[in-house]
Amino acid sequence: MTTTPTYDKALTLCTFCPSLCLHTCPVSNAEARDSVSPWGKMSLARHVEQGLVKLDDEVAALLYKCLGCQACQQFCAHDNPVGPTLFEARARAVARGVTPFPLERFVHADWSADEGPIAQARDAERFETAPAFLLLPGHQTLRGAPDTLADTLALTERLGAEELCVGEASRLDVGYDLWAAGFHKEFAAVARRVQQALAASRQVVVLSAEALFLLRHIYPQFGAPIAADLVHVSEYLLSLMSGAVVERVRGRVAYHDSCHLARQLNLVAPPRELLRRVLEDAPVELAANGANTVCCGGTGCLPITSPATSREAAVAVIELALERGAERLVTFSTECVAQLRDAAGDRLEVTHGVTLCNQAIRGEG
Amino acid sequence: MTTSIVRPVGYLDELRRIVPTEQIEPHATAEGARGGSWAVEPATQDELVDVLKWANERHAAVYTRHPRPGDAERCGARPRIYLRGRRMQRVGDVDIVSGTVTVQSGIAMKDLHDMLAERGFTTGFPTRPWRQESLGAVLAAALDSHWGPRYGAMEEQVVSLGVVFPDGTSARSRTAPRKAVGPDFDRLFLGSRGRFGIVYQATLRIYPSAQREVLSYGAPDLATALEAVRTSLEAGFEPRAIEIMTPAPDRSWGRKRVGLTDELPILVLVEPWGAEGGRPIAMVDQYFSSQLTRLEPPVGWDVHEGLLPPPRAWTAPVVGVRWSELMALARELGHDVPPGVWLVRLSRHGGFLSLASGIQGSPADRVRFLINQHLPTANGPWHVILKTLKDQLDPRGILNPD
Repeated sequence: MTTTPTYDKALTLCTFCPSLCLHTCPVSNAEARDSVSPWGKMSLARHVEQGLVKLDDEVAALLYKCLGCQACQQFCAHDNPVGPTLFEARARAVARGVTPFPLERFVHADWSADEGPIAQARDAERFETAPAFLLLPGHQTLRGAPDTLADTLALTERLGAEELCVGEASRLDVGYDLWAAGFHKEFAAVARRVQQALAASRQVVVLSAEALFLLRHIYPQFGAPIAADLVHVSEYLLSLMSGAVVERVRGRVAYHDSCHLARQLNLVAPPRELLRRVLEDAPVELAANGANTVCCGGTGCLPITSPATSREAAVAVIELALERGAERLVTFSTECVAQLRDAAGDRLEVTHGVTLCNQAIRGEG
Repeated sequence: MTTSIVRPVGYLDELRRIVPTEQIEPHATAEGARGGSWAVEPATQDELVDVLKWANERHAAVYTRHPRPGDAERCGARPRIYLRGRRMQRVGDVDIVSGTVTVQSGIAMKDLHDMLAERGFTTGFPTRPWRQESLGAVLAAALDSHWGPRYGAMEEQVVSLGVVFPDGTSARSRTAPRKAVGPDFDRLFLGSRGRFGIVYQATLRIYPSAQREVLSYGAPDLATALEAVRTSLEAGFEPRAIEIMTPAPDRSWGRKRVGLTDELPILVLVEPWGAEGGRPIAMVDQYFSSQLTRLEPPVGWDVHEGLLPPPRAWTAPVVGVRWSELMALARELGHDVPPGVWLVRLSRHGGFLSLASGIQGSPADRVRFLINQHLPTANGPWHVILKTLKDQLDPRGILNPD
């Protein structure tokens, strides 16, 4: 693989910087190791590129200590894209046959049509083979926060948007983990398959922040642009909820910005606007919020490659919420919900924003 | 009248039990001094620990610098130990994968940089001004902004430290991001002038060797120089480093060499990011050339060394000053800018100002007045914190007593 000027430039910028973004990285904060800091990983990738360090499994594994959350980029004087560059470094390692983690760990089979939330949707007559308005949950939603899918269907039914249905495409994994892990050849095949499956839809409402980011920004790079209108569930619900009668939910509710939503999809305002419509009091802002949010560790395939580190990052977000005296933590990313629930345990209730909206509509506030 | 002299022979014997005889050098003045004075060269961390434990038992004063004339008088009957680091120069590890080098603190900066240069690497510290000083001395010096790394601070270059406390206990900081572990252990010792502990080992970041490009300009007065810098920052240039300086009085040859004249007495140094980031070098040069006069110092000649006293001679305080104060100072000084003014790390907020020691005259007094205004007051919270720390870590006043 040839070295592109952008890749080289990004690596060089980091390598000669004294790691001023160190404090922003959730991974280096969790592991407390300099070699997993943005500087450490980028320098290492450059050393590999320059032939100063031999690429082996141990070295390549360090490249997987990145969430791709772009917190460091937010802080960088040069807006250096550390996450995408490290993901590119992973792909280069894979292309050279160095795969510290086997491919099988990043491949997720199609979700069964006969069990779990997809079967429930079928029972509720909200399943069509190829609907015009498709609800796409994403693999992480089906696995980690299946209740969110049921809540979305219930809520949209109440709001008179029954045209939004689950379809055959809803069972597919969009391939985020494959892409993030650097298995680009396999990811390209998945992307083409998902592109075909979504071809009949006019609008795709996406629950997973990772999936939406991938469909909007990465699929076109792999020659598989999605023709349908891609919207996040918070954007979709915002218009539906405008005239709805709700019983506002009480309590001290904090909002956690998903890094994909806030930084990569620039969706900071819609989730807050929705919460303001269904909450008695304004949502509590965490110390790190909006574009400066802290990643919960649930992305970048870190839960697969370094589960303990990933959990530590989630604990840090829970601590931020507890520090603000929150009784409940809400987020609009299903990856975050699954991750934060696991880290919070009994200390804090973690729910998806859709669940909260559903409660307000049903008068369970 | 006769004076009774206590011969410190017993102390020397005790020291010989801790370190080999060849690592102890009695000072000539020891015979006449009441407590005795020795230069001691520990070769290992254990020896250093034992020396400090012995010092605690004997209430000795342990200095990490050369002897000074007033020491004997200050210490009275207390024995004095002057530690030398020349036997603690071992390189523990050069880890390119982690991007770090771990070395003992006695290594001279030149030796450290030469060793790294063989592998194509360097540290974040300037390679020239400190070359004869030991790493420990550099880390303990409170001159970070002026003689330290040109970009970022010393703290960013130091990944972890091994420290022996005044009571002889030791600790090693973990390689951890500041945010992850609460208060930064390393910061207690960096720039502390050896008041709280002795750094015996340090892990530093290393970088691939690369060439820096520094552009030099002359200005007729401080106001013009500051205005050019301020407008460049507002225009979004933000180079890696910007400095403004006037040569020290005894550096007339350097002044001539760099191209400064009576009409252009102020030097402005601008270091662009380079080809990889920030604005292109040609664009930065074009901008500053339109505001100031481009100078061409000889290639490879170190401007700082040629124009300013060396780091060890730079004992003047360094303070952070805001733009409004800098501009007011420049207006007041007009064309009478004193020699030895050094303003570094200019940013949107201001810069770090210092004036070389011994400069006389009313313009120098005006600069010194501004610097003194920013110095912490003798009974202010900063002094209270330092005193409390010193009392806690060194209750018997063993290490570098004032």
